[in-house]
Amino acid sequence: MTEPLLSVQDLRTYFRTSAGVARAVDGVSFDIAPNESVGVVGESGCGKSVTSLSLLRLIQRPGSIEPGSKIALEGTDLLALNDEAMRKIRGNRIAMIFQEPMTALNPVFTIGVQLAEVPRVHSSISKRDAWARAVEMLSTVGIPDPAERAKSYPHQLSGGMRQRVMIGMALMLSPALLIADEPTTALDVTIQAQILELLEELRERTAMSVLLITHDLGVVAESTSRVIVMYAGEIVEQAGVRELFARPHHPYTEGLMAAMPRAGTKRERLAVIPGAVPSPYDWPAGCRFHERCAYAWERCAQEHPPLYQIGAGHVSRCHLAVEPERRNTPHIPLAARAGAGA
Amino acid sequence: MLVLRWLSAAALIVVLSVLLWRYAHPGASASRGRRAAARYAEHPSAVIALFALLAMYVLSALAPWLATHDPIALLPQAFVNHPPTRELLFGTDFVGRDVFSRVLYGTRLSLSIALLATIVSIVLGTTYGLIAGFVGGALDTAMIRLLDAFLAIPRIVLLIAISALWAPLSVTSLVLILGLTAWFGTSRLVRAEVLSLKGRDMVAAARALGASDLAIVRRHVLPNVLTPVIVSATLGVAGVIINEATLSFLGIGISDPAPSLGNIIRDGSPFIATAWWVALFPGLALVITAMAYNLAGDGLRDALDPRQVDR
Repeated sequence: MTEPLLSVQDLRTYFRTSAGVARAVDGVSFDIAPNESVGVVGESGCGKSVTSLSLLRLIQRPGSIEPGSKIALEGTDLLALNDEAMRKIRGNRIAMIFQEPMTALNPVFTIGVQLAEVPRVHSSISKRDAWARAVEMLSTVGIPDPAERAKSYPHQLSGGMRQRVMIGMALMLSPALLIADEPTTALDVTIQAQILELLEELRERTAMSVLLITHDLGVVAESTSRVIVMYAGEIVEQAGVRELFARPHHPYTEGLMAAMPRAGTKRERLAVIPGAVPSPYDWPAGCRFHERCAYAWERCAQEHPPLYQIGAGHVSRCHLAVEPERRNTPHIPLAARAGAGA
Repeated sequence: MLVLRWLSAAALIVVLSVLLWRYAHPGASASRGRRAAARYAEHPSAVIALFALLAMYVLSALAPWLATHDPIALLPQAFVNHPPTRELLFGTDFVGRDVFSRVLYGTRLSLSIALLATIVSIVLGTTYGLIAGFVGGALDTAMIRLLDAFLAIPRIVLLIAISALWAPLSVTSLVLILGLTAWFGTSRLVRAEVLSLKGRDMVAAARALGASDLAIVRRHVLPNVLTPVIVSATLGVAGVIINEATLSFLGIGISDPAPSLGNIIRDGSPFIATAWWVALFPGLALVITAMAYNLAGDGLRDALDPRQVDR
């Protein structure tokens, strides 16, 4: 394997509040290779977004990245950099786009001005050159009539167009890694597909890597080569995208897949995973998923599972890896029983 | 001297507003300004208010030419508390000074003081609110408690207390006193606005692209608080005009014989039953100006909102 672009080891991001310590991200390790596209999937509250903000060191008080965590970009330890050096990494080497393209753009400036602003933050490029690059970027991200459109205000654009502009802003400095946090969640389904296609096309063209954060396995299937499934602040399964869809191992991954709407099926109701993500202030002992799991047995409530190797490049944090026969005896999960009783 | 001061104030206002507008909307097409003007024009009362203000400013700027008499000269004894005539448009006051000329000069002084004081208060209030809101944490708590303490003291009591310490008041110190006591509301407004802006994805996105705190304040926070600040400033002028008149009415603002709207009203108030003209005309000037500023502020609020969808 080639040298990874980004290497994250034992990343722990905790929020120390008066209510206790919320362990939002609790020991996450993964690598991203150059020009690779990696998806991070999970429900709300499982630590996806905190992970991505941690990579940029944009965690606000009372949150902090715990000592012992390591984030290395092209061999540079990001956690050892001073604030000024880290600021230079943002935008230049790692850029990020957000879920809401409406609120992520400044309503009082034209999109051209906002795009042209990005290179001027980091270098002394002339206004005229910056504007030319802004117009060029608008055309790169597929906005028709870019020279005219550059003079538009955000509110004059559709949601899809605004997300294209956001992507353009993120790409102005040709970053090595683009983090896309739910980039299509706020958009129509047809526009979603276009945006994902655009991201994929830009990745192929520019040699950057993409870290795509989403709660939607369908999005991951379409546009990434490797998937990380997160649950309760941890990675619970990681595999190549084909491998994951062909042989999902962790019951949580299975649940996510069952909850995906599929074309051509007659089922009226989608399957759901019973219960909700537990509180980060108090993760369950043992396997963090055992209360919601249809296969859980005594061991799961007591012993926190490590990441078992399942196959080539496929790991899963589930004791089923060593006791596979348990899969034949599913039962009603604890969370569903408690829910029915209440 | 006064003319110079008034003209410089007016020029400053014009230059400042143009600069602020340019700064908030670089590369803004002229059509954007036209659309804002069109939205403003949808409020007939705001348009009337704008013309009323324009008229007040033009009339008071031309005071030296329009005044029929010297505003501080005493006319012969026969003219004490004289009712309005064709010669003496607004009559004379209790020592025989021409009320028309005094109202012209008084309006000029009151308007200039109010404008300058508002600039002082807006600059101070915006800076204070910006720092409190953007830095946040313990500093914000301390700053906002201090503000609460100031707000707990009735404005007029504060004004009287400070003026008493400062007496005798020059025009400059009056401007400072009025400005220094008028910024609390603005800084609350700015702080609240900054807090909400800080939470927006726009700021997170800018940070993610490597923008520094200074750049975020300059590009994202300040331009977006400008609209409410301009509106609050416009409404604030009305308040300051009234405060200045109150102080002068109480005899601690502009002192005799220099005319200000407040002290002309005071001169007329003992004789309101017999010589109503002395207090009525400066009173009208005061009401019209204050009301016009309020209406214009309301119109501006609707016209300047950048999120306002064009119809």
